[in-house]
Amino acid sequence: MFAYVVRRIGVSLVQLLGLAFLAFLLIHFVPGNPVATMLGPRASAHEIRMVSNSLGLNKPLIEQFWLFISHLVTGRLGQSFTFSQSIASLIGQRLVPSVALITYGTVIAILIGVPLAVVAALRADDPVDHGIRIFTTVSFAMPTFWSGLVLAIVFALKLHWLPISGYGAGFWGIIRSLTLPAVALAFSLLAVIVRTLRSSIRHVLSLEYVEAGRARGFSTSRIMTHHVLRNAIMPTVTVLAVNVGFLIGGTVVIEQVFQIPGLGSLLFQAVNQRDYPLVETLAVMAGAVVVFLNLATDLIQALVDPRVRPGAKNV
Amino acid sequence: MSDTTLRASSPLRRFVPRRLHNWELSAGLFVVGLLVTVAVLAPYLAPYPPNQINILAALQSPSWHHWMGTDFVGRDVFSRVLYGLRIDMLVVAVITYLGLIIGVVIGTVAGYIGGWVDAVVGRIADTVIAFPFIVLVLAVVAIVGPGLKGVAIGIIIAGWALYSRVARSEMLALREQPFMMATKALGYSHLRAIFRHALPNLVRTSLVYSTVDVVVNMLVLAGMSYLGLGQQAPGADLGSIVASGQGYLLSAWWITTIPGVVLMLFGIGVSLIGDGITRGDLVQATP
Repeated sequence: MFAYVVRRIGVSLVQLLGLAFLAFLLIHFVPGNPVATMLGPRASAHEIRMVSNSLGLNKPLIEQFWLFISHLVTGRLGQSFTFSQSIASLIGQRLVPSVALITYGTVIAILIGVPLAVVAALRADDPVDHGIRIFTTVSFAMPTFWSGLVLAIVFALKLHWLPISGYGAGFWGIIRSLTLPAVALAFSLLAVIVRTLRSSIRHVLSLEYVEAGRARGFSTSRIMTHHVLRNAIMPTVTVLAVNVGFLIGGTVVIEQVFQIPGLGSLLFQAVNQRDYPLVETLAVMAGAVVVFLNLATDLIQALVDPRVRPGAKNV
Repeated sequence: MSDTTLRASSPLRRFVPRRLHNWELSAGLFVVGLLVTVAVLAPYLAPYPPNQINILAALQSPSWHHWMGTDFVGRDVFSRVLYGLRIDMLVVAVITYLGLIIGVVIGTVAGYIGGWVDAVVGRIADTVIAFPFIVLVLAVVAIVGPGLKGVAIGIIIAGWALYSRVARSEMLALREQPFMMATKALGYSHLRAIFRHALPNLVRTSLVYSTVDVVVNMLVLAGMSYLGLGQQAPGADLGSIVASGQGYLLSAWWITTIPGVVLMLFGIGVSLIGDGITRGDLVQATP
């Protein structure tokens, strides 16, 4: 187990280094002078030189990469030019709305998705199952920005139940303002949850111990909650961790639709204004979150289920 | 397509499941076929030029003259949707299958060679996959600049890696198969062994997966255009038409909602095709 944990952490570290390197290369791929592009046509040669120096662009590439990594690790992320404040404080301000939005969206997707998957698995291949499959196919095909706008038309503009955009104050204010975007995000996630969970539930349902439970006279709901779901949930957790990257991407669009001041809209602004250092930092952060979550789910899985540890005998 | 039209030796045989009779595939092919036909015939079907401004006819609701209404400068939404669908489907088809070809070739070659080449390719693919898809596309757009070109390059750069991973793991399994060893014994060149004998056997999985990828890429492309980073004005694509209606959600709902419905129909159709193919596989696997 220990050897597995060490190796798995090692893999993640290599991945993080790769992420950082790829993001670091970004500014060097910009055609022409990236600083001139960033500062716009009215920047003087002197200004361009000053910014190039402060970014360390005149140093050798290896040294630049080393500086980039050490700044990332120590949190000295430097200054954002377009927002004229430090990148660290900028990210600090924008972090909470995005984390709240992603969490809220995931919770909604689970609350809708798990019951749908259970019903679909229990009634496999009958009209109910087909209906659920059509529903998830539709929800998967909907663009999040579009479902967000349609929700806004119905629940904000027509019914006036929820605010049309912005980010409220206080717990309930935040919940109210994030409900529509979270539902839109949840739609995009539903299909993956329902399909993964449905097929793993069906697999577990076919196992002998479930038959044994039935023979003992346990009710279907008891078998489902006590025996099946516990064994069927892990693949779904893994899939959810993989899809956090998808959700992070989704926030870029949905935060723009609802004017939520989160990291997604910050990344969009950074790209639009060609603030390369900010884009680099945000890209590494987003990738790191995915790497960490994948690491965590793999380790948790190895902890609770000895069968997935490499070297374990196949049961 | 009936069985008798396919000879046993036909290469198509390998890709087309024996029993295609399921409603998912038929429905999917019908929807996508319809959309493709409409998009191809856009210049003949569109009642107005897509960018023709007519201020006097601005924000008209759907009618006989304008099936899908008009936008804020009086452009015909139906014509714009037709042309938008045309450009979006073209771009998505090109980028998805270019990504597939690049990924499958890289993955197959890496798996065939093995050793450090395989390790390096594997790590690069892992890194690319770890980046959230849209974030990577945005980073590329930041370099290349806004426009369909930047988005297309970004999606290809982000998209090849999964195909590479899939093809590589299949290649590892194929390497141990007797017929691949036979290519060595017969003295075939590596290129011949890879492209004539290995690739046809492993491309299937990637082709099935590509039906999911087409939907995802379409949504990403539309999202980028919605953000104003894809198709640039005045050109129309489905995402940018949705965005152009955002200021008129109550007074002119049709500008925002209709292009989204078209996007959704496309996604549903392609997903159904994917489901149908997968189901065909299962039928074939259990005779």
